[in-house]
Amino acid sequence: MKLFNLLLFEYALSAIKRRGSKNIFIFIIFFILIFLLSSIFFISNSIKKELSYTVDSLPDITIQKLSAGREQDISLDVVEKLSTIEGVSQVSPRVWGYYYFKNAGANFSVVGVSRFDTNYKKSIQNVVDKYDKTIFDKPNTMIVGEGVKKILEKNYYDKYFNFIKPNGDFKKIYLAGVFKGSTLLESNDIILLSNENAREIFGMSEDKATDITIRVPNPKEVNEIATKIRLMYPNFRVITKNDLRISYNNIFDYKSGVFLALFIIALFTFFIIIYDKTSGLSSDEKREIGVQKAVGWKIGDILLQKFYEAFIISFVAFFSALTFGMFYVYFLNAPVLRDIFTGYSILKPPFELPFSFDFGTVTLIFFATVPLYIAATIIPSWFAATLEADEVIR
Amino acid sequence: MIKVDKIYKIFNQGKPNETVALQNITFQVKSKELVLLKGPSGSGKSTLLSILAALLKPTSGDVEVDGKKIAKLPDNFASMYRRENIGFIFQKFNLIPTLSVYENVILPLIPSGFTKEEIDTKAELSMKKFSIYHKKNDLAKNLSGGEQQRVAIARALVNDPKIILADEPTANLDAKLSQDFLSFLKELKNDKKTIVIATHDPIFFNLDITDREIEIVKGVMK
Repeated sequence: MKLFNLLLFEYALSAIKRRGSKNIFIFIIFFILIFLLSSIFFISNSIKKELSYTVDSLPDITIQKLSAGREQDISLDVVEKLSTIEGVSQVSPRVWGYYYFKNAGANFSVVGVSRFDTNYKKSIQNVVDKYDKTIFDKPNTMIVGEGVKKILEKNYYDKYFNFIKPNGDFKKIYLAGVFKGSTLLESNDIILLSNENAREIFGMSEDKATDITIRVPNPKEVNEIATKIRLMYPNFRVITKNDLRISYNNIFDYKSGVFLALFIIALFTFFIIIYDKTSGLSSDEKREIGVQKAVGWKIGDILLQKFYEAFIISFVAFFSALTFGMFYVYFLNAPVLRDIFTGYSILKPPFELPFSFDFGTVTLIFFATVPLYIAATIIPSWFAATLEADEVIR
Repeated sequence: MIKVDKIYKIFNQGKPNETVALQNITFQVKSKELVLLKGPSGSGKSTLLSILAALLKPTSGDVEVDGKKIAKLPDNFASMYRRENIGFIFQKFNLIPTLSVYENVILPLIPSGFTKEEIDTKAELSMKKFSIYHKKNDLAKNLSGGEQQRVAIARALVNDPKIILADEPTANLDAKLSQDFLSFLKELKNDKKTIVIATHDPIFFNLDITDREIEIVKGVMK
C-alpha cells in the first residue's frame, strides 16, 4: 500500500468538510492550545535570552552593606581593602537609587557615574541618541531612558528636571541625551548622571556609596573570593553573577507557572476531545467504515484515510497556531501576555522581544499534541474496521 | 463458478441468545447464471449472501469462487476479493448520505490504484448506464428511493465485477421502480454476469431470465 494516495487524500478532505462543524470545533481548540503554548514558550525564551545578555554584562560580584536586615550605604574605606584580595581586578563603588516622581506616580532608577572615567564616556556614546558631547564637562546634566523622557515631557520638563533633595531644595539637572531604543529593556526607566549629582539628590555623603562592584577575570575564582569577602565583612551581602542568574530564572519560571492555569484549561478541553474520539465513533462514522469495507476497502485503506483526516486537522492547526504565535510574539510584541512576564511597573519597558526559536520546544509541543490526536482518531476507527463489515452495516 | 459446501452459521454460539441462521447449505452457481434465493424474512438469505460476499465468515463449511476458497479469508484478502469480484446491491442501498452521487459511485475505486481519469471514465459510464448521471453532483440523501437504488447499482457495477449479489433489491421500491429494476436485471444478464438475488418479492418468481430458484426456510434449503 502506498503511503500517499491522492484519491484517498481527497476523500479525507471531503470527509473533513462533511463533518465540518465538529472539525471546526476541534481545530479551534487545537489552535488555541498550540497558540498559547507556543506564545508562552516564545516569550519566555526571548526574555530569558535578553536577560542572559543582561546578566552577562553584570559585575562578577556585588557587595551591599546590611544593617538590621536593611540595605545601608557602604563606606568607601573598604574599597582599598577589597582591591588587595588576590584575583580581583577592579573594585568600583556605585551610587544609585530610586527617585519617586510624585506627579507621574513613577519611580525612576537614578544611576551615578564618574565624570572622569573615560571608559564610561565611550560606552555611553555607544548607547545614547541625541548625544551632547560636552555632557561630562557640564556639571548638571543627565542621560535618560525613553520612558523617563516621555514622562518628563508630559509634565513639561522637556529641557531639564527639578529633583527634590531630602532637605526640600530643588536640584536642576539638564537633559543631555536619551538612550537608544535597542537598550529599552534595561534603560527605559533610567536616569544617568554624575556621582556628585546622584549623591546630592539622595543626600548621601561623599565617603559613601550605594554598593560596590568587583570584577574577577577568572570565573572559577568568583565563589572563592565571595567567600573571602563574607568572612572579612560578615554584615555585607555578597551577590555573585550566578546568584543573580538563578534569581532571574526563578522569577521567570514562577511567571511561566501563572500560565499553568491556562494550559490546564486548554489541555482539559483537548483531553475531552481525545476522550470523545477514543470512546467511540458515531453510528454514521461506523456505518461509513462498514460500507467502505463492503465495497472492497482494506483495513489499511480506512486507517490511511483516517490518518490523513487527523493529520490535516492537527497539522494545519499546529502549523497555523505556531505561525500566528510567532507573529503575535515577534511582530505584535505579545500584547497582554508580555506584561504578565515583565511586571506591572508604570514604566513598563516597551522593549521588543528578540527572536528566539527553540526547535526542541516546538518539537516537544508537536509530539505532545499532534500524534496524540492522530492516535485518538485512528484507534476507534481501527476497532470498527476490524469488525466484520456485515456486523457494522447491520 | 460458486460452490457452497455444507455452510453453517450460528450467531452468538454458546451464549443464551444463540441463533442458528444457516444449516448445511450446499449448492452451486454456474458462471453467468441468475439464481434466486427465496424464502420468508428471517430465513437466512441475507446471511448467506453476506457469506458469499465474504462480508461474514461461516461457522463451518466452505465457499469456493472460481476455485478459490473464500469463506475463511483474512480480512484484507476478503476486501481484495470483494473489490475484484463482487458487486453488492444492499437492501437499504447503504449509500453514504452526505456524499454526492459521483462520490458514492467511485467509492470502490478509490483505493484500487486507478488514475483519476480512469475512475472518472468508469464512473461516468456506470452512472450513464443506470440513468443517474444527470444527478451526479446531488447528495445521496436528497435522492428519491428509485434514484438511490440506481446509485447503489451503479456503485456495485462500477468496477465491472463478475458476480453480482443483490439483497432484497426491491424491498424499498414501489411497483413501478421494481419493474425498472427487473429491466436492469435483464441488462445485467445480457452482460453475462453471474447474479445471485436474495428476495421474498414474488415479482422475481418464475422469471424467464432466472436459471434456478433455491428456497431457504429457517436456515435450511428446501
